[in-house]
Amino acid sequence: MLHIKCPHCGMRSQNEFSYGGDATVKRPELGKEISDQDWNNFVYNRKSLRGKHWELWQHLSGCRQWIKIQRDTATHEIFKTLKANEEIS
Amino acid sequence: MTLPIETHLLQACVSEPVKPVLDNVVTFGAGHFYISQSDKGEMVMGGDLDGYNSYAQRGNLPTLQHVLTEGIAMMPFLSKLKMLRTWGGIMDMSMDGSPIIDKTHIEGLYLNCGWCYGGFKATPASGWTFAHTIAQDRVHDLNAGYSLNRFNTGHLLDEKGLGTKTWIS
Amino acid sequence: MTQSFRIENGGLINRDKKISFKFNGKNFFGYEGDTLASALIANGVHLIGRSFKYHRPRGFFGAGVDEPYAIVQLYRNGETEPNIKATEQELFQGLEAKSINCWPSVNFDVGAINNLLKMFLPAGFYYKTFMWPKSFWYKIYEPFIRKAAGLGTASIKHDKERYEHKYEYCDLLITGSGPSGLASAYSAAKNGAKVILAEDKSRFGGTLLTSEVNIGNQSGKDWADSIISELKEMPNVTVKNRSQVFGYYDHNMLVMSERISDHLPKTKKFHPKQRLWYIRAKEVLISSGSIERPIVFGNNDTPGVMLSSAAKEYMKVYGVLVGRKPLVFTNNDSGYETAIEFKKNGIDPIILDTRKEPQSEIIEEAKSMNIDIKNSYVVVAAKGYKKVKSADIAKISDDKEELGLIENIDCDCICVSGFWTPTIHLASQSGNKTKFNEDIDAFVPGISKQNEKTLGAANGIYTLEETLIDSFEKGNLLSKKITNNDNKISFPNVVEKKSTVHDKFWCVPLPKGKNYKRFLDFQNDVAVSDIEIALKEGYRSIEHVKRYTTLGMATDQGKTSNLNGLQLVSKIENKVVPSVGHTTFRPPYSPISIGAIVGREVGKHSKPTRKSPMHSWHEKNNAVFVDAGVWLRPRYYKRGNENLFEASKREAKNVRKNVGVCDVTTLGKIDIKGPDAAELLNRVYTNAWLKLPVGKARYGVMLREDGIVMDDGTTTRISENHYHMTTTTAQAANVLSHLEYYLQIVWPELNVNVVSTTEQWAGAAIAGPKSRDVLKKLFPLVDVSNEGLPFMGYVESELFGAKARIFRISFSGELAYEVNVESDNGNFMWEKILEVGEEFEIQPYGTEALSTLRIEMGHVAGSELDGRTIPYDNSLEGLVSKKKDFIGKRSLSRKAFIAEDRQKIVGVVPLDKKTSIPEGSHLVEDSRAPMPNPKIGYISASCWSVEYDNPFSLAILKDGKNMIGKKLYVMSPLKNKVIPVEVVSSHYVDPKGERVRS
Repeated sequence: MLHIKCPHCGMRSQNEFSYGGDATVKRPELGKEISDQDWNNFVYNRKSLRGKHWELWQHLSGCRQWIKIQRDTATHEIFKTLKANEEIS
Repeated sequence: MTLPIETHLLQACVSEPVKPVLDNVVTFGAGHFYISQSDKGEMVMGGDLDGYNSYAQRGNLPTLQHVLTEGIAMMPFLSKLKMLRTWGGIMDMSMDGSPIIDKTHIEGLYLNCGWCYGGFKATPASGWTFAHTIAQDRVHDLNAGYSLNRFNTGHLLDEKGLGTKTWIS
Repeated sequence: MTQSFRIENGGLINRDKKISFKFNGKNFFGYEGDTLASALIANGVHLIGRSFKYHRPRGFFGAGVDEPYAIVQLYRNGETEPNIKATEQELFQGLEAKSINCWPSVNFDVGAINNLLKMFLPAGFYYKTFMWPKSFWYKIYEPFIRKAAGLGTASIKHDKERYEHKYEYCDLLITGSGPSGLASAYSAAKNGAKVILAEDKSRFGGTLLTSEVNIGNQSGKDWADSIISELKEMPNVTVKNRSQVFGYYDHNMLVMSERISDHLPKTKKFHPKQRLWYIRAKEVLISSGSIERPIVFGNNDTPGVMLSSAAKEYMKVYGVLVGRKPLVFTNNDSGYETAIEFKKNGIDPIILDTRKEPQSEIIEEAKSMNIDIKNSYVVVAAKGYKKVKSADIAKISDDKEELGLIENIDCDCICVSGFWTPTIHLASQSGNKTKFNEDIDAFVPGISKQNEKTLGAANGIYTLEETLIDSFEKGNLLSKKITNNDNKISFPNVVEKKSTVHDKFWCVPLPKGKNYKRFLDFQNDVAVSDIEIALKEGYRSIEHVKRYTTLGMATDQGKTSNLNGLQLVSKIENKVVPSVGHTTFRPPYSPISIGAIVGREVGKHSKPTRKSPMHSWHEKNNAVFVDAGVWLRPRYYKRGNENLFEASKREAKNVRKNVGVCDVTTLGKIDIKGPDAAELLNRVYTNAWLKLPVGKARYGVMLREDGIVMDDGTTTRISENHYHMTTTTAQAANVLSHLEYYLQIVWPELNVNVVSTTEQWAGAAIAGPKSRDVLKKLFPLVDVSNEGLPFMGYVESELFGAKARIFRISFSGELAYEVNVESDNGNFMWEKILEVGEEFEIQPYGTEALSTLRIEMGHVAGSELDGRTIPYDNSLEGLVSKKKDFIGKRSLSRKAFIAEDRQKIVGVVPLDKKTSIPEGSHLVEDSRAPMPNPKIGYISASCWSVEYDNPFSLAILKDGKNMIGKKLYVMSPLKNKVIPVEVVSSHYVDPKGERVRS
């Protein structure tokens, strides 16, 4: 079971969290023109990386904050965790 | 070319072999659990994904705990069997839970992917329609619905109605 | 029977406590501290079962977890368990066990005919032998194979035992209490680290229990005992026996199963049978030792052939002789230790050593005891059927290719030692990249991925002194890192006999003209010839060879067979073992009871049960409950002999005619506060929200980004910056997460907070033409007239002193209100409603009547909003704003979503006005069309319309808007029904919606 460092609560077991997928996906701005292709990319197409992957998790049974985690999808090693408002660098 | 697919981890397990007690594959839709007994006598069981992108081919026990909880809910006698072996495989989860069997805009490149954690039972039909697609360079009526373009047109199959959160099973 | 093979003295058993047990119906005695295996051997029982494929006789091969043969059906306290290893099962008073794979008895077994048919059961027989002719598979081959399947018999009764889970954190987890485990635990404990020391067996000490060594001027066993008692006294140390760490998972999470009651005649009251420990360790020390591996020779599965270390353990721990005329067949010094132990007990062993002129302290000792030693000798084949009677032996050439003259010598057991295989399972599971150690012909841990280190024999270190030095040091270093203490332990004086190098020999060649079966995997009956076939047929990867031949896939998971299998593959392939590589080690280390993995979440505790504050009232008033997710909701309230159909019809009719009350507490409720709350709602819902006045509710639909309806519900503006959102029961948690996601990740600039208040409010829907009368009585001070509290209006008031929220909203399509009070007052509210409603003939109604009411009104719910429909499909397109953007809007313009013949909700009535329509049925144009008959729609929900007294269903139908009035067929292959139907409007009752506004 993964051990995740919530930036608000500290180290917690994975069963307190729920997964939210690729964190690099940016929702298009409301009300702005967007091509079909760009919209479909946003809704459906993911990079599905092998290796370092920035992803969203929500500390569902804890502080309920969405957080960003950089995790290796091949080894499950976690490198960094960020608060929702911190930019992925 | 980007595919509407994410790679996830699915575990399965077998029990120790026992004398025949189950002569069918049984799936438990509401609990998301399947079970059958192999010719060797092992109960072959599985269910949910581990729930995050992974290529690791190794899962964690709480997922199997959850799967086996559903198993015992359906067949309480499983409690007394012993889990012999577990394994984790990687699954190509498509964004509507159904496979893609299609030709592509690149000549000579055909797709047969996105089978998610299903597909074994559909192997003959998938092979047949895929062979047809390659041999004729056009899709057969039976796999016309499994086009890659459905993600653009909205002709989605999504039998479970879960949408793009492929990790929720 | 007397225990004819019990040594008079010695062993660690308690000879003062006799224990009676039954095997195959016969009574025997053993002693406290015996295993079933040791007690049976003591009683001269050497035949315990039949093998799985060929039904060859099976005896005992090991003395513990590596046992491939001695698998029995266990009977305990009125229950039965399959596949128990007799070598692991501790003896208890009244134990009963039976052989498996034999009929009619273990001594005379019909299935042994398979042994004669073995040419038909070669490698891969599951895959090929019986594939042709095709028709034979179902009729002959599969029934035959299935009859042969399995080991023991599963009880299909419910398991009455209890299993517990425990979560633990520690600084150091140490797996195994042999010399390395004890030493490392001791030095870590002395540094104040939080240590868990786990031992799989009932006794602590590992090999110290059976080896002739001296530590700190005590015997190895006494030293182990003193360390364990000291550790047990330390508050920072947890010492657990009968506890196997079986899995090493991600982020240093290990799982251990503790067998609490398996060694007892029955589980004590309030005790679990087993406890599963999820342990998160900062550091892990793997001290799991090593397992002796066999040398492969002809008929090496005959009962009486066993590991030399097991023979020694039976003598030293259990005081039991495995034979009186032992042959020790070895390629290293370990066999000598066993022979010496025999000699000490007055038995004359013969040692066959594959080595030519080995010299060491141990060998010298054996020589000085006049033990018969034959160098450059091998066992060619064991002779005897149910028990070894003699052995064909021969000299072997220096290159190990040529056998000399075959001699036959009498013996009653063959103790075999092919050197030691480190138990690297946990290290490998952790992700450690193991490496091949040429010196010991086995894999050892290499580069760590997680915080694990492997000690002693598990790491290929076979001398006690080196093991102890390394283990004391690792325990100290790792704990020092955590506690910053550095308490050095003075290293004890160690005395052990030195041994010399082993011979890399592992498989005896076949003599000319003989084709003895030489087994690698004893439980799955995989022989050398099977592997040869697999390779001949083109299998190369060791993973494929494993699956094709089932090598190492038995319940012992190849603990004694895997390495010899690798040796064979590498020999045939002319490769070195490391390039063949080993198969992946996967958890569990040994089979773990499924009950233990699941723990307490069985039966009624399988899922949490949520109950509304009015639950006990429902119970007292004959409610029949239904699961709604994890909630229990009244489905109907039974009166007299009513069934579901009658009761729900009565309840629904009463709502249409008088007034009813329904517990709607389970609806999701979310409190939304902040200056940007209206803006959030405007982005989340498809309709406009910026102008909703305070004191008004509005119905809304929210989409996912792919344009599919996610949920619906009403949201009420409580005050300027305060909204109360309701969701469906099923989607409550998802909607909250959805809102939090957009607020935290996508639009952090919005100043809004959301929180679930589902548990805070109890809700009652009061519905029906007389509901206003009831409301007047409940809230005499509130103007509840159509003008004072119009449709979609909201007021706050007090219900006989309890703070209450009153919403004029309706799901039933009748004039209706929903009253919320704080949960603690829920039951009070409920009783008051029924009390004041009595004169208006109020009745409670359950979810079945609720469904009927909403279906005939054409109101959509979960069965229509099933994750596959868009607003248009549900005739909700009027709620989709054209002016503003919102979540999922961009997806709505896709081709399939705007198609002319897009599916749409309709009503469906059977032509005979009688036949009920099964939910989930398909709609087709022609019931007799050839298959596959094109489906043009499906039935989403069905009811018995109380308004018109006939069946009515909702359906999602292709081109639904142009289908009203059409005649179609409903087909349900599941129920074998074909029903002619007419398509009508989904708004079957009160299509103009006048009642809700009345």
